[in-house]
Amino acid sequence: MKINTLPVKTWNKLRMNDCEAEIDFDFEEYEYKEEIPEGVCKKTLTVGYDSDEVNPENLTPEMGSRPSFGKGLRTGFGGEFAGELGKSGAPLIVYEFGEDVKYEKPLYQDFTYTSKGNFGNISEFRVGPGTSATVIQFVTSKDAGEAEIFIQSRYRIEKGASLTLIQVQTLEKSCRFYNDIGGNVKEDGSFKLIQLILGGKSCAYGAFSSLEGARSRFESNLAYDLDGEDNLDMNYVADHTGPRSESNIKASGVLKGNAKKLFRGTIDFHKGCAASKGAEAEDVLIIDDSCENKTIPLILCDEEDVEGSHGATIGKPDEKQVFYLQSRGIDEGEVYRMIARSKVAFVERMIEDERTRRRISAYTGEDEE
Amino acid sequence: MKEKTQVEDIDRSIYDFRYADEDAYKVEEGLTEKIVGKISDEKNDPDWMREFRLKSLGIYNEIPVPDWGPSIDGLDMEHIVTYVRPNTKRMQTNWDDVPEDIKDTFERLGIPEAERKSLAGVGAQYDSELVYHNVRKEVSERGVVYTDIESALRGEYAELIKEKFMTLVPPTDHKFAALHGAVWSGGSFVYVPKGVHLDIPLQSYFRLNAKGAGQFEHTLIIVEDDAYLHFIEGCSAPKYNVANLHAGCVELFVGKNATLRYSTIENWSKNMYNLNTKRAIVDEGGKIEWISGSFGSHVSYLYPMSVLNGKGARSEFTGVTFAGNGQNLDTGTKIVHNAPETSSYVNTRSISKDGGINTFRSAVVIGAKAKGSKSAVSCESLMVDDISRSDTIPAMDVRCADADVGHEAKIGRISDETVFYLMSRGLSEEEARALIVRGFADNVSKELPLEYAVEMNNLITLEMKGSIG
Repeated sequence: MKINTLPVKTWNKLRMNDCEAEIDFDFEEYEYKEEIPEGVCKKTLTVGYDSDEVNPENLTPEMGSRPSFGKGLRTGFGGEFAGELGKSGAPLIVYEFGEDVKYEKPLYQDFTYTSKGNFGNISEFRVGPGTSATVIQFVTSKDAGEAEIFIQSRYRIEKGASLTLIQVQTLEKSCRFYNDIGGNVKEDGSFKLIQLILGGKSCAYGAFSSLEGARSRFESNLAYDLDGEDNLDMNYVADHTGPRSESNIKASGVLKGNAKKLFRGTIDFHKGCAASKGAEAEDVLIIDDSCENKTIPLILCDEEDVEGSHGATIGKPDEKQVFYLQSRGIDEGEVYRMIARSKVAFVERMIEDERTRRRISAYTGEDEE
Repeated sequence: MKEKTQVEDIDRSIYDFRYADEDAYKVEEGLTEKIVGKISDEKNDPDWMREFRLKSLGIYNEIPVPDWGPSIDGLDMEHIVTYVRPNTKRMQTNWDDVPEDIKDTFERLGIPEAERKSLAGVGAQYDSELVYHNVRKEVSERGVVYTDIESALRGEYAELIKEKFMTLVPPTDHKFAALHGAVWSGGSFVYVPKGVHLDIPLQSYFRLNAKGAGQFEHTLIIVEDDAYLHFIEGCSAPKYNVANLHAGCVELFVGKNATLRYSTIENWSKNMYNLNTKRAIVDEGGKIEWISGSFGSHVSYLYPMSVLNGKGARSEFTGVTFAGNGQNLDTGTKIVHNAPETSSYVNTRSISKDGGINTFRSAVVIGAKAKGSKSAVSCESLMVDDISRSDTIPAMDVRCADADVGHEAKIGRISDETVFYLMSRGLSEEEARALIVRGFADNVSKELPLEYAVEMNNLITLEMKGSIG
């Protein structure tokens, strides 16, 4: 099936319009660890039937053909994928955050895979009006071989609410990882996404944020460090329909060895989103000649009164920067390592949770102690 | 008779007039082997070209229409006449020998006047054939060849044409390149010898008069090492209520340390499907400069492409596209960096007004051999009202560590404060907005010879008429 579909197609010869993927929705049993803050309600529904009125135990074959994906939720992987997933009958874990609550503790989901298999998890975070919440997902593996892992995170952010979703991924270089995100943000709501991609052999990341409400906001900060035969395919969409909505998508990373990366970033201004603003920026450092870096940042505009911008900087480090550091006695190899590290560090610094920071440091070998 | 006066006259009737084409020879509508054979007969093609056309037709029938870009559902090839020979037997080199109605057409478009004032040579194509071609004596004495491509195909440069023809844009490239290979007719051949620097430009003007017809001219330009050429291309057509088609092809070969500036002011009528292909290959130290103003057509697919094949080769693309009511213009550029230390610079502006749809589409490919290469792409879009649309789709594919690729894009609208300021200085709102848009498009106008810059600004003023309320 096709995932990470570009909202508007371009030349097929460039091979940027979508990504071909084989995802088996027949997932194996897997228990992930979680810590749920007090007051958050958890329940299990079925994908395609994410209405409280539907009891998954009473599903009939006729209902199974219903191509619904939910109440208008779209995700970065796109429509073809949504149709297939909607028919899968996979479980959907819903976390409901209350109204007007500032949750001090984050909701932790720890996905640690220790065996080869086909694993999947679909979570939905419903954040009530006026509430602010944080979800931290840590995805890692040990002796998981060529595991196939699929995680979908959906969100519904109500009026005046905010959700920060932090994802750190340190899978082994043998794992295949599909990470799909999507949801909507109501009036004065905000969704902040922080992603650190440090592992995995072949990864696909998608994120779609529907900015439905007036003054709704979407901020995405993504960093990756790819090496060897790593392959990363991404599709990020800020979909503006609400007036005065704002989006900001930043991606930064390093490519080494034979790594391949494709970044699709779209700001889509629909009619009616007057006075909205959208910006996206990408900064890529390419270390080796055998890397492949593809970037396609789109601005789609159906509304006059908007401000949209995107910028990309791709290639080698700035010569002046390298010269300056060398003149301070740092050898060239170390200079490149430092610059590469800085491309990822800007996202690391956004993660305030101590436990998560320690796990990242343990992985990167830079224990803060 | 209304004549073009370069400055004052901004009436679209300058372009939107027509003559009956009852004296012309036409093939029947549609696209079949028989029709392609008739075109070969009519043009007395050499055997290789006859085969080339039929092979291209086969490719055309196999390639699907693009599944990206604006819809071309309104283009029915079954109703397009692919060859229309005007009522003249052969191309003239003396203006007085051109038939009266055709001469009148080009005089109203200001071509002879421009030839006298500011050009080194002129070619004028009417429907499917070149009707007039002339080059100044002192230019031809320097070895510059500027002629219709059919003459070149049978003359001294026949082997050269055979060697180069549709090698840069092969018929397999896309469906409309294949169509072009099958039914091409007319166009120019230019050869600038090594070291020759032409100070004043050559110009070809393409006029499509016949209703429901296609124009498929082929332009082949070879600029040898250390030479310089500025080539200007203009085009227009009267408006009909049926679809017309333009699927020309431009192939440019730029030698070592040579420079070719290729300027186009495209002003096809708004029933035109403009599916044109332009490509340049640039050798070591050479430079291609694309200057592109797109104002006309109902639908456009236009992406001049530069292949930088020699060390230090350069490409500059400067473009403006103005999409108004009923127009869906998909324009941009493609650049392939195939050699070390190559550089490309793209600077485009798009203006959308009155329901017009603009798409800027680009591709920058930095290959593994392009060490030390640089590319900078800048595109800006202006939305003049709330019923128009503007999309930006730039792609970058970098496969080399030692490269520097930058991209920036902006989209916005005319600032109320700026309009207010200009109105406080005595301009009407319409004048103020037109002035702002002309300023926005000055990246192109300042690169054009004065006469053409004036024409372009007039077109903008014309398009901005009625932009208030």
